[in-house]
Amino acid sequence: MKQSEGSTSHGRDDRVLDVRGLCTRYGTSQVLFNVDLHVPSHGSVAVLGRNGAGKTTLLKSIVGEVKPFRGAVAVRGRECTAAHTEQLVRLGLGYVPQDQAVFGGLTVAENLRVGAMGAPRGSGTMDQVLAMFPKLGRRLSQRAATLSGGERKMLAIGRALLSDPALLLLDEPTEGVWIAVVEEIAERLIALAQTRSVLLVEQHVDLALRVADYAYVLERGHIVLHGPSDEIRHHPDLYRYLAP
Amino acid sequence: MDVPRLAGIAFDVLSLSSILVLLVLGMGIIVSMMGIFNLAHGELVLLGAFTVYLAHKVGLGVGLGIVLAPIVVGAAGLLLERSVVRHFYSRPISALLATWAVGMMIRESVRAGLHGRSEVVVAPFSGTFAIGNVYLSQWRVAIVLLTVAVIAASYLLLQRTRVGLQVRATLDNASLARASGIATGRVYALTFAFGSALAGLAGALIVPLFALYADLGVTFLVRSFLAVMVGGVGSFEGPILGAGAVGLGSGVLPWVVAPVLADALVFVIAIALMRFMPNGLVHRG
Ligand SMILES: Nc1ncnc2c1ncn2[C@@H]1O[C@H](COP(=O)(O)OP(=O)(O)OP(=O)(O)O)[C@@H](O)[C@H]1O
Ligand SMILES: [Mg+2]
Repeated sequence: MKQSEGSTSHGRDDRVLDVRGLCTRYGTSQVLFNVDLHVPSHGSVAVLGRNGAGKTTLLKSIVGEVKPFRGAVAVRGRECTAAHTEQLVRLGLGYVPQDQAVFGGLTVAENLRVGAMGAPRGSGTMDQVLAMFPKLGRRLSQRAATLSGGERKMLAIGRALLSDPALLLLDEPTEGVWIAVVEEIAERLIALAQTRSVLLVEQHVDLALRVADYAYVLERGHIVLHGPSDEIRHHPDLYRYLAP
Repeated sequence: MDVPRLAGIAFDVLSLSSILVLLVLGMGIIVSMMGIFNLAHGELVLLGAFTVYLAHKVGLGVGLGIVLAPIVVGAAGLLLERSVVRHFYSRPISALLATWAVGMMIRESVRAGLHGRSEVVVAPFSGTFAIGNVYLSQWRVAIVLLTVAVIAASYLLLQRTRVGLQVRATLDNASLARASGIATGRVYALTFAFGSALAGLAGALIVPLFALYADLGVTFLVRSFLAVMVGGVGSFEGPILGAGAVGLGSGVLPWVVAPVLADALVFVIAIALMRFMPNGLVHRG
């Protein structure tokens, strides 16, 4: 799949995603506190943090599945804090949720066709996805609910790729996947990150830092650490923040 | 009982079940997609019947009235969804109250329009077919054939078209559908309008068999509610089976036990079914 075009060369427009001062709560309990996060047009970013830190909530707030009560989100320079999820997809976001990331009752082929529906630019094709994940090609008429965990994650990524997003948000794409398949997915993600921006939430710290060139660490809803992956990898406080 | 008579009854049950299928398909898809029961569904049937009556009254003819009914009621459903129902998707209990209130307003308006009377609307064609010594009402045959055609068309629409895929995706996982760029709000509106149109068609088909009176919808609401519960939501076959079961029950029981008892018995059997098959006859996990 080809590089996304159209980003201008100055200022904030260089950022495919710009999150400023984001605050989100569920009922009365606040989960995100003043989160600032940026994804450059040609770069990939990881979000690390232990269970319950607010990583999923952050992605949901970005895509509009959960409404933040303060702060702003801009995608490719366009303000879209109050936008509906489906509008963000049209703006170039692809989102692979942590849970229920496939349409279980639909076949693999239908899942992919749904993914292609949101493609305004329409250059992502089924063939490219199937070349990336050949396993899916053998299961096209199978219901997604009957896929293995790893296959399901691949399908979820493939579905999101079919809209040819400029920025792909991935929430734990290797969760519950057998170790050898984790490596397979990791390789695909590294390749993907060459062609488009990726915002990756991942439990496997090494994998995340291999895919992304910049990382943020979230603790109890606060960004406590961020920097280039190489620095974060050796940061003395990293495992203190990630320890259970 | 002799064979022709039995066949006649079986056919009556079949045509009644067909009508129920139309209602239950609409009601069932709304329940499984938006998670709410539309208590005005019966009044949409009434509205369909009333449309035919009006068309007849102003000289357009019953036939044209039957064509217009699903269109008029579908539009009314769209209006209802956009103005009222959509505000209640996250609050199913309030949705019951709201749709009940809307239903009552429609019902009482029709009652006023009819001056409290009931009106007879004759079928576009009457008479009977003879197959051997079994006589079948032509209109009932038409109802069954039309219903089968509508079910087949709906099935193809759902399985073979782009819109159908959007509907199935939304039904399966609404938030993932949004994340795939599908405007689920629009899918909801469309689904509601489609379910309403089916109810309108049911009303148009049924009015020649019964008569037009303000409470026409109420009896159908109860039966379709039962059929949805019995058949289970979330599949295409479930509502059809449920409608068949309830149609069979309410068609056959009055011949076996006293009619008053029959109505109660249909309920008892339906409740027992729900008790032992809480997810309905057909269930997709
Ligand atoms: N719908 C919700 N209602 C109330 N609280 C919620 C809801 N979703 C998440 N939370 C709470 O918000 C906090 C952050 O949850 P979140 O799912 O964002 O964490 P996470 O970092 O993604 O965790 P994990 O690594 O386990 O996926 C948790 O304490 C969680 O209990
Ligand atoms: Mg999470």
